[in-house]
Amino acid sequence: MMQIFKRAVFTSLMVFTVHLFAFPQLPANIILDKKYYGSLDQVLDQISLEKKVSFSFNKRRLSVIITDGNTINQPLGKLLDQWCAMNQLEWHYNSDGIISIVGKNKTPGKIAPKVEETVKKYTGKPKKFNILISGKITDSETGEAIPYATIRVKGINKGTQTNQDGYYTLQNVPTDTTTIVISSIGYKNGTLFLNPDMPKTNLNNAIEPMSFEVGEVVVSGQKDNTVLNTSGKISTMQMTPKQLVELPNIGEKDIIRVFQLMPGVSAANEGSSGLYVRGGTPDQNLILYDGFTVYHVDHLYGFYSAFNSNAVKDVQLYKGGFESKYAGRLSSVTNITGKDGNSKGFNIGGDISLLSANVYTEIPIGNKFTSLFAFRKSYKGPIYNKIFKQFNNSRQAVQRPSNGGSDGPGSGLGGGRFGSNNFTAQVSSYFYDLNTKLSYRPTDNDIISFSLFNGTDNLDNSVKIDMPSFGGGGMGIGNRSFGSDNSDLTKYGNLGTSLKWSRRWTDKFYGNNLVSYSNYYNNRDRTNNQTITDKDGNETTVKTGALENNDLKDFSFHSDYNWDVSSQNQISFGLKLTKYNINYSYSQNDTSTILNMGNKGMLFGGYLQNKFKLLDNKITIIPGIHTTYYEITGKVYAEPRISATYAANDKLKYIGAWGKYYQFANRITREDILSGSNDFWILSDDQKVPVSQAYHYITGVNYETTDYLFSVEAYYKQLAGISEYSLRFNPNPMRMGTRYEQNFYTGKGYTQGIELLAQKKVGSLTGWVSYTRAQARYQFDVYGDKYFPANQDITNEFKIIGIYKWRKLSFAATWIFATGRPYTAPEGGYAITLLDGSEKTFVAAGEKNSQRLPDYHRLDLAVNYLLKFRNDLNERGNISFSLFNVYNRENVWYKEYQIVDDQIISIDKLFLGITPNITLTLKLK
Amino acid sequence: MSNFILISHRQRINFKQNIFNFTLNRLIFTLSFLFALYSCTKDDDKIAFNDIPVVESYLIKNNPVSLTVSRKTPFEDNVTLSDDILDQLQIKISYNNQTRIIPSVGKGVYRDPSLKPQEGITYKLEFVFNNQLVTSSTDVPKKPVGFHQSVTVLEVQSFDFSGGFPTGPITIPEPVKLTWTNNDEGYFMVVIENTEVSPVPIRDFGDNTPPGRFFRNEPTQGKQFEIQSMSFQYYGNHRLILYHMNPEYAELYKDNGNSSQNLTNPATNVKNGLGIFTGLNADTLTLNVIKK
Repeated sequence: MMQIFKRAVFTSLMVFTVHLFAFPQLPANIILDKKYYGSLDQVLDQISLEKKVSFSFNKRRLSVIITDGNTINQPLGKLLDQWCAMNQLEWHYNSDGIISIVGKNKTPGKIAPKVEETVKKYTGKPKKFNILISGKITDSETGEAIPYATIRVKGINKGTQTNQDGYYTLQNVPTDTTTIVISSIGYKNGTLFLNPDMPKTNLNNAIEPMSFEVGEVVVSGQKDNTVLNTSGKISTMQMTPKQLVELPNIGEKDIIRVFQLMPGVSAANEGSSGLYVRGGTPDQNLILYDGFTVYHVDHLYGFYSAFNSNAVKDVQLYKGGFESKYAGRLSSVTNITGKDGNSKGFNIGGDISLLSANVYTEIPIGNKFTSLFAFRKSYKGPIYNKIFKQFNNSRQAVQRPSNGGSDGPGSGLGGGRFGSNNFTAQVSSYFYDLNTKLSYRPTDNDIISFSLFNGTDNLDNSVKIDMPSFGGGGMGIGNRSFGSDNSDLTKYGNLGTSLKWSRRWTDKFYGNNLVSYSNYYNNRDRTNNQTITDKDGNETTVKTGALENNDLKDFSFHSDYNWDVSSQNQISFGLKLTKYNINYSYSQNDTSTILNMGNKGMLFGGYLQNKFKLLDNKITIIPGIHTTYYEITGKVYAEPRISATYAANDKLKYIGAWGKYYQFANRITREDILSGSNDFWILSDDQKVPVSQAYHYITGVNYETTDYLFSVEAYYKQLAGISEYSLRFNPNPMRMGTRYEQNFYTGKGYTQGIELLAQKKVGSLTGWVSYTRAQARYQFDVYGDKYFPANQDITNEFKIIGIYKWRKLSFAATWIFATGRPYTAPEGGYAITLLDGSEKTFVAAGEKNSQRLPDYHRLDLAVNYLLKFRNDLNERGNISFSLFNVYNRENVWYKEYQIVDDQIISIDKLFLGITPNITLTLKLK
Repeated sequence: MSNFILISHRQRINFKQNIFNFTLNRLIFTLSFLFALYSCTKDDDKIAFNDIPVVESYLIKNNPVSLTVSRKTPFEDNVTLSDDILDQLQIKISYNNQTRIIPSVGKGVYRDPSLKPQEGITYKLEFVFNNQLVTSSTDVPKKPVGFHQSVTVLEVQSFDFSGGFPTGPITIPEPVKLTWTNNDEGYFMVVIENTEVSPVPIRDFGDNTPPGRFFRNEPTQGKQFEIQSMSFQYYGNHRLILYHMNPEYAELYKDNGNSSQNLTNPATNVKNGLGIFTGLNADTLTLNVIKK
């Protein structure tokens, strides 16, 4: 009895083991046991699904071949021979386990570039067990390291991710003949068959980017054809700029704006490219670009973000509950990794659209050095002008000095005949950005990289008036000539740079050290220069008006280390040191400085985090703590955090996170928002501006199959120490010495919401539907005891995005619907007669943010055509045509109030109407 | 063995389908529920009207006290106002331990010819409106000292642009420089008023409405002001009035926003009310603008 039992156990163990490590049956020998009907591509799809075989073929080509259904009891190999013989095809069984069917006389290598991977499947016995492998994953075409790619053991729930530099370490791999699967969004899955002869370290592999043209190669069972990926982590969204080309855009492929299409990120914000994540404001979002902090990401009144998508490799958005490594912001983190540059060869490319032109070049030198340069500049084309006018219109009303009726010195150029129009000289406005990255790899384990970014906007609304020296006699004869130069020039932008040294010390220990410098500047010159040349030719210049200047300098040093203790335990720790130097000054005329605030301070922080897995890797728990010493207040701030995921099976995952977050540098928005970008940064000091803090509570469920993703996430954020700022004084630059009053108000608040997402990831038609129901409420003592809706509060937001690919074309549509944002409406108006007899009208404000603007919705469409020539391996570019706000919905931006004839009139200021755009992208590789 | 694998794969497919259907149903249900919720919670609040009075009163030294009370014009229609009648309010002004009730002269105006504000005295305003006590307080600042003008006569050339640019030389005279003493950063403002009965214009205004007789600069904490000759619209005698004011008057020039993004309540020194109740003192000089 015992014998039989033992034998049974042994046999079943054998069966079980073999089943576990079973190599897939050679396809030639698989017997088909039923009739398969339809076109050849359909038949192969079915066989693939049922027999677990992977095929690679040109779908378009095979869809015209009809099979006769005579497949019962036939070995697959024989059937393939038949089908191919009849249709000028041939089939090959690739070493990676995929059967590829190609046109006769073509080798598979011509359709897809050679993949550098171990080609032979090892059929012998394993020699070692429970091993560690490590190496780097790169792009097979460009040689770029692929960050956050997944490496896992085939069939088992054991895996890891590459770090930001593309390195990975996978521990406790069952044997040295195991199959490893490598995947990343935008790439075809790579398979690595281990064999005992292979090195276990520096096991570098390349995976192939997914072709845009879906019809060209269809690999059944292939994952992810999408732009955005949740990557199964808590509240995380990942995006590769490569796929951006398919989505509609308003003149620019924008890596930040595309996140607005995701649940939890507000999309109804044309006036800001910054992200409003889960009821938070853009300044609560930490933006890192290759390690340095970017303080300002807007171009052109917030319509575009300052990042050139041609220079960006990967973007991760952590919507909340982010890990201990990131600190200093209350809501979210956007981590941008720049491209290193093609290491395989020279590349050049560019785009031109109705808004801007951009060019990039990648120059490798030897095999240790890569570089990337990218430059983008707008030109005053139709779209620039349209946006400039739309968002600039309002400014005209405020800025112009009043003609006639005498309003102060210099403005009274006589009522009547000549107004400022006769002599204007228009000056130009533009934006540009510049990206540079240089990488040097002295050894296989070291990387030294230098990254530089500069994005600047130059907005000019100036007017030049020249009263010529009239009269025949010219200047000499008892004449004075008069010139007036009305400037309204805003120049703002961000310069950032970082130098990083990454080193893989051992297989289990990886670290990087980084020094960075980031400078945000914002200069506003709203002055009037009056030059009076008297009869002797002496020139006197009187400068009146306002000069505003905000300058932020951030010097930082970061050190981050990762220690893979075991496959179940990973420890991360690091240090951060940041030195801030912030200045804000506001002066009127040449001499009087009204406001001069300077802040200098240092932040010194460290973090420690442990990631451990339990229950056969089903549960992952990440507790951690980040501690900061803030010089200005002299206090130590501790931010404990914890997150957990429970994978019930390979499809269902539960997540939860909790954390405490502090913010020390705050961006204050000035209230006369009409005057362009006039936010300024200021450091908390617990007197005027407190150190703000937030608690995050997040929970959610993810259900993910190969084809679909469903996710529900709920969050609650408790905020304290948030600031609002008001600076009251007359904005007219002509006024002299008017008193100012600045107030910093402190309050608290909360945001909460639930996000739903349904995504179809695979196939010709992909896309997603997202719905968010949320609330953002603030309470400031200065406005009363009641909680009022925050300016960014949007109750319901629904987005639907669809992308349909057909051969070389893709069609995309996005529809966004959001209920209106709150606003403060006037409840009454009155007038006061001033001392000189003139009347000044006032508008009394009603309850703060008690009203709602009308609902916002718009539809965007885009068509993209891939430029790839018949006998060409490479994609040479794209042509895309987009239409923004297709049905020209008049979405209200804000309302303006005026008192006319004792009545208060409200005027709706609108967002952008229908806007078309064409973009042409060309590239060498 | 292959059969074994095949069967379990098939079962898994069916199971997958079921889960998918189930989840899809759940999703549709949740979405519809949420949509229903959304349509139910649409609220359209009417803006509440805060019925407080607007006070306008300048206490100028040696001028009879005058005060105007009015109401705001509501933004919404159908607003309920309080029962108070503007001409029947009990307006009290207290100073030096005495209280005076200011009589109404109609149209919301209250005047007392016998009460003339003096320097250095604090005046307190008090009355009841809409069951609330409206109060304010101010004093009369000192008379400006050292008010000085650079010229008493200004020669200005007449401009006529009706036929395009004028030919012949044009001279722009030096600006009129006004100075005064201000050692403690007080608030001053210059108002220039043409005192002629029928003033002669300096230039042709064309089709535009002729400008008024007054013009001014904004309140300043400085001690000088230059009147550009271009600011004068008419020939004749002008009064140059230098007001010494309290900070609350300067606040009137503050911008309290005019759009839904930045609207807040205007500055006022009237408690439970709006408007201004302020004391002023002045000194005057004259200037004659003549044709060159």
